[in-house]
Amino acid sequence: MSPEIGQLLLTLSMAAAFLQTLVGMGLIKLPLSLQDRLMMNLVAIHAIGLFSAMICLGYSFITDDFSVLYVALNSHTDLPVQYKVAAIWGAHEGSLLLWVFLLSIWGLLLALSKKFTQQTMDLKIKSLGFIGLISLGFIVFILYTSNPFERLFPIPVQGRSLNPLLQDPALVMHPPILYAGYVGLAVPFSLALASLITVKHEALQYQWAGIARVWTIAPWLFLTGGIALGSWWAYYELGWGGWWFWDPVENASLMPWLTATALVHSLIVTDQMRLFNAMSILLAIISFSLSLLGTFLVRSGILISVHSFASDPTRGMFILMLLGFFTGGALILYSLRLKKERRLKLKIFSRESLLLLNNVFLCTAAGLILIGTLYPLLIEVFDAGKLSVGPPYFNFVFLIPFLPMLFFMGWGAFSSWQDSELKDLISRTKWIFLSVILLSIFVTFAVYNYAGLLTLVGITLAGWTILTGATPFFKNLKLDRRNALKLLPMSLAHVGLGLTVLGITVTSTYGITFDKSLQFGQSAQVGNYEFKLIGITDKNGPNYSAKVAEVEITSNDNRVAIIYPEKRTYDQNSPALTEAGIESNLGRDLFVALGEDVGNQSWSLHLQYKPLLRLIWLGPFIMILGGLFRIYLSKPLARKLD
Amino acid sequence: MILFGVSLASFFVLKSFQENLLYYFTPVQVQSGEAPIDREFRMGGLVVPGSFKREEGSLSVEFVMTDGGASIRVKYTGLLPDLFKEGQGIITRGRINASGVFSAIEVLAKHDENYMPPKIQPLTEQA
Repeated sequence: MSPEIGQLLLTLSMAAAFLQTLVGMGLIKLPLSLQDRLMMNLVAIHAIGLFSAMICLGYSFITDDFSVLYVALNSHTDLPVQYKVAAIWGAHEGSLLLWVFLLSIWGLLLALSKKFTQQTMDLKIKSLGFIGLISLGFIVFILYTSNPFERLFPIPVQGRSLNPLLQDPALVMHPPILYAGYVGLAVPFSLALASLITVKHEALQYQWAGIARVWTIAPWLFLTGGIALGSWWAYYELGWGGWWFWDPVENASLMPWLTATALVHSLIVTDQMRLFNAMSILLAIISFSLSLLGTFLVRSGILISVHSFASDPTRGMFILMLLGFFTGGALILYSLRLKKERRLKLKIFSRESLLLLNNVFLCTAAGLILIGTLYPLLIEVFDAGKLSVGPPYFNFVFLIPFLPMLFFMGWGAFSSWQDSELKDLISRTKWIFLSVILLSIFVTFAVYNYAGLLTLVGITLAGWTILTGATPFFKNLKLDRRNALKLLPMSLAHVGLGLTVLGITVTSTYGITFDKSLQFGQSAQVGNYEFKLIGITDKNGPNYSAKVAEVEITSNDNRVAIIYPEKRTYDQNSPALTEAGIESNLGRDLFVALGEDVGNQSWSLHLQYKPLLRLIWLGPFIMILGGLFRIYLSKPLARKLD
Repeated sequence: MILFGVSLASFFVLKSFQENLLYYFTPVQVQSGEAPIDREFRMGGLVVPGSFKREEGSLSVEFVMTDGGASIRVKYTGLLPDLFKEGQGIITRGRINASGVFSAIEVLAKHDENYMPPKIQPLTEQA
């Protein structure tokens, strides 16, 4: 029964989304306050319907109902229960259901927001209408091409189980968090479009920006967390200890992150200075379009990677049509309805100019990644051969906009609106600049060793970003506590980015990675550490069996740790899976992945020493804290800080 | 100055783009000389059953890749991916030398070929 109920609930939500769209488009003639109440109810029905549909699918998983095709393909009676729940979004159909469910939750939160006044009621109704329209498109897509509730006959006695790679705690959380980010960008998108069609006079055209600031930071937080979690998962689960591969799927999440970061900053200017409204609207459109593009890349099966599930081309076409419809439609609306903005002569070193400059850098970075990601697909579509763009391209071109961006970010934090001059910026930051250069030269030579100018520049810019981010907060802490707290989100976000940059620079320069075959009792030297293979034993887990290696790590004859990398086999049909052994602290990661028996009583091992690797994930964590605090400041309960 | 900076940056971007394009060839194309001698490329195909040899106790391996038409000998030193086995479809990255042997720098196994077939047929057969 539960799949049929689920299907019914999905259809009900579709109806609610449809009505939401009608109300939003103003096709249901009611007084504004009644429209608002009707919309509220529709949004609630929509969200509750999709939530219950998720529950129905979850019920089928937990009760091992293999008469449901999707469950049969992605579950197994032996699968631990938490992974049965995670399997709901373990493949194409369910992950799309999760997508629309999260969209409905964002819609519900927006509807409940206290930020809207009588004056902006219309803006709220219209943007919820756009959210309804997006949801409608995706529910039709689900019902038409990818129904997770489809039945299967004859009923198999056993399911095919969840891809073992996905049986991991981080992977239980990674898709919902990343999706919440992707989907959440629909909110600023809808607000931006709503502002285009509601605004009657020019003075009111900036109102959406004040509301959208928090509604951009929230999905940005999820994107940040999702990307960091995905990178962390790739590091310890994919086996070979890399943390970023420039895989198209990773690029698909990084591009909207970059433009959403630009949007967060652009909205500050639009909200406070009533400038750059066109840029904010455009960035909101681009960010959500890149989210849709990400969904298309990941879900259409167009890419060969861990993330693309084998699927039929109609799905890809359908998502592409949705992408074309929403992006194209939004751009048309943008070109037709954009109001004239007030013009202001920009001073080159004012805060708004620096923010503009860095948004250009962020978008350039996103654009260069986009070229590298889409070019191979275009070539293939036009049948001009098959090729890919190698990681060195991305590593290199990312730096071109990113290094100057890091520098100007520092000045941005010290600049003032409208009237800062170059000499003010220099005099305000000269001590930071000098100390950062001395410090990074000292660190490079004393702690590590000189390894080229780029590394030195990277470490310097990381330090520059951290200090210029943190200083405004600490300076204000003594003078004006309230102002300091207002600066805290910026400080945390900038410090977080600086830490990530530091981690990336140091790890990629000074990290050591190699493969080696070792006999029992033999050891290998990795930097200052000695890795000794003690032995290999057998182990049985709940639904797998494993070979476990015991590796002792010593440094100058002191034991650092014993780690146990594993090679797991889930069943005869599926290949082995590497579970790396990792010993880590803030200063460095030591990593061993077990290869295979290579004969002559030897086993192959993959060994790594990665200094400051943890900073790469600590950085996003601190950025998230900054964003959370910014959202807290926007709440009424933050008033008592005054 | 801005113009100069932008054009310099574009030049480096294009250069890097050119250098890092990895073309993909099948063994038949490689045998007929379509693949470049002087740069890296990727080659996809099946590992011929029975062709896999390992130098005892070391990480150096050798195997033959085929697409049904041609066969190319591949040498590789390093850890093989979990999904690597004879008869499996794989992608390798490396260079071809004058004697027609492919030295691989990287070996990738296709991820979900076995795992998530698009059709349910095999599943119902099992049941």
